[in-house]
Amino acid sequence: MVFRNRYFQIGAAVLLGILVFALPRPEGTIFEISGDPDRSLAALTAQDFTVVDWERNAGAYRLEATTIDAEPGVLLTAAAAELGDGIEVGYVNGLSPKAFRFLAVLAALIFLFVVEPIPLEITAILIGVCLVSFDIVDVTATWATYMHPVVVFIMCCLILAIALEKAELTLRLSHAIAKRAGTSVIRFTFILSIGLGIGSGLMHDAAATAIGIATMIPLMRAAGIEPNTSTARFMVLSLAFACSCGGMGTLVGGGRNMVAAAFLKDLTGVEITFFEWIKFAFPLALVTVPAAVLVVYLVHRPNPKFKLPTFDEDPGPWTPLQKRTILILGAVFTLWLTKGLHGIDYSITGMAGVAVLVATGILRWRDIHENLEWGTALFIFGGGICLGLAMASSGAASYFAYLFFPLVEGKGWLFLLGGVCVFGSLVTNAMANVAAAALILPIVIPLAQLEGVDPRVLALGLACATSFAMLLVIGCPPNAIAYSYRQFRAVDLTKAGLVATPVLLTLLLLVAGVWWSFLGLL
Amino acid sequence: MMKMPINILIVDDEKDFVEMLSMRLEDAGYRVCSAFTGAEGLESLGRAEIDVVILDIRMPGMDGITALKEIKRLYPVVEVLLLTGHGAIETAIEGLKSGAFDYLLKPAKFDELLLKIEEAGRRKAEQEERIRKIEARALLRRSGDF
Repeated sequence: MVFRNRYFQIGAAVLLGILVFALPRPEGTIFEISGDPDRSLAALTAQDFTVVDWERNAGAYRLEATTIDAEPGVLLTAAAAELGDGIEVGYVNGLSPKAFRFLAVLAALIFLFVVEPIPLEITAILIGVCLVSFDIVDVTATWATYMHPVVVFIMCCLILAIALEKAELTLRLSHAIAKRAGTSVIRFTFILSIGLGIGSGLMHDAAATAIGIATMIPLMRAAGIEPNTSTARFMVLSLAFACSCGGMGTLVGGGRNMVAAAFLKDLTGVEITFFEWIKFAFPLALVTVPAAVLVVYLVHRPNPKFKLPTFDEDPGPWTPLQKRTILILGAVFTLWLTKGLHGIDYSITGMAGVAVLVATGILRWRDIHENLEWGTALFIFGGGICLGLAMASSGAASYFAYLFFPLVEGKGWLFLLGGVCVFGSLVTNAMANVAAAALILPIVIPLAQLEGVDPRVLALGLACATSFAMLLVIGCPPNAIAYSYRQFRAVDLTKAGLVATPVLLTLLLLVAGVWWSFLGLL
Repeated sequence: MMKMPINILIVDDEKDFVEMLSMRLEDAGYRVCSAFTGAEGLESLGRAEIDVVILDIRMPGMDGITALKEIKRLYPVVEVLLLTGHGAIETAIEGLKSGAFDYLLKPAKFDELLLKIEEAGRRKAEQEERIRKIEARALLRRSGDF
């Protein structure tokens, strides 16, 4: 069929970009001038612009066009260029030509991300190509964001996860929990899912899911639990959903957390440290993980007749390799936790840990090279961050913030956070978390600031809400891993997700409201 | 990792033999289904998750080799162990070429049968795990996340 043809889809993406570009560009009438403490630009353009009363940004001021001109912003930009370097003209209620080009490129890229006529990694590389080609960001800044410290941080987390798996430490955890989980299907599932779910805050949630299911499957087999029965669905989906929710617990629980924190820091200068993330988000994980399992139990009621055999696998005593690995990982974790004291970036301490793992023979370069998803880590995450930062620097984000502000003005944090969480949890099913964060955060952070809401609330809220990608099997890695075991159909996951998503979102807002108020964030 | 229990299907027209072998295999810890014709065996494969089929070559109606080819066509990952008499070695070889895992001469030593069942079960589990990992990788790439 022609719609499935790759070239047709690529053509449609390009056409979409052209269509967006062909729309009339809103020029606006209010402009924010920065880098001009003497207000020389205001003096130069006094005939056509007046200074607007506005106190928010120290050192910046706003001008409003008083005479009708087709493109006052272009006029102002040209005048600023005449005055020399350092004066920047930002569009407040309009889109600059650069921002407009960005939106046209963005439309095409979103189409490519969602429809996927070409591999996601190539689409991610095209982000950089398009941003430079259309003169939106310069080439050095563009490619530098592909190795943003958060990208390096994500890569070292993935490598540490490889070490955890190689040393079979994830397996040990799974066995330790399974041994204590009993033989009742319901009790076993709750205990294993909650245990690994909380644990997935510290490890790759896909690895926690994979190990948990690999532990479950032989027991299910021995008990005669067939695939595609309600019991199988309950057991496997519970684990997947629990591991997704648990990923919000620490900064390293998922790429979405690290990306949200990175955008917050780059856009506002505000940092959520590793320790602070645990303080703000771990209690939310503690509540949503068992809640997710409960929802799956209610949607896919297991057959009470099944009894699992006693789990009696013994992983044996701790090997020297395992002890060395846990020591090194513990040291890295401690350095992350104490970043507020020493100030060394997570990517540096993380990669130092990787070097030690290789130097001590725990990992070989080959283990890293063969198991690291380079495309996802380097291109998709790097490209997503590049896109988000360009969204902000081009001015497109602030224009949307200006557009949406009347919708949220005066309605408080709950309305804003609720909207972000609902939108984020839906969008993240169809696109990578980093892309969702790149699109949403640059817009909502300025909105939050305008509304007087702490921007940390939005970053945390979005990261937590994107843990609820429970509608599609490609929504998040735990879903994909769980689905690959063929114990349920895709529609079974969607059915559970349609109930779980609103329940967990409501719970998230409730608990966040109470806990973050207590901590002074709200 | 905990050993994956192996589900066995015995397909043989000799009812006494099937009953006796089923009992012994169940005592050894396996889950066993049985069928007395090739057609019944194919129906059983459609209903339950079978890992290893123990298939008699000589059966009335659909013979063992035809049943084997049908099994490999519909359930390519399932492993088949052929049971054959002394005069049917050539048929056994034809079966191996058609995708059977191995063959045993009747009357087969029980220990030898158990060994081959374990080997066949292991191969099926490894192949399924390989397929699962590739499918999971493809889905993970589509999720564009880690």
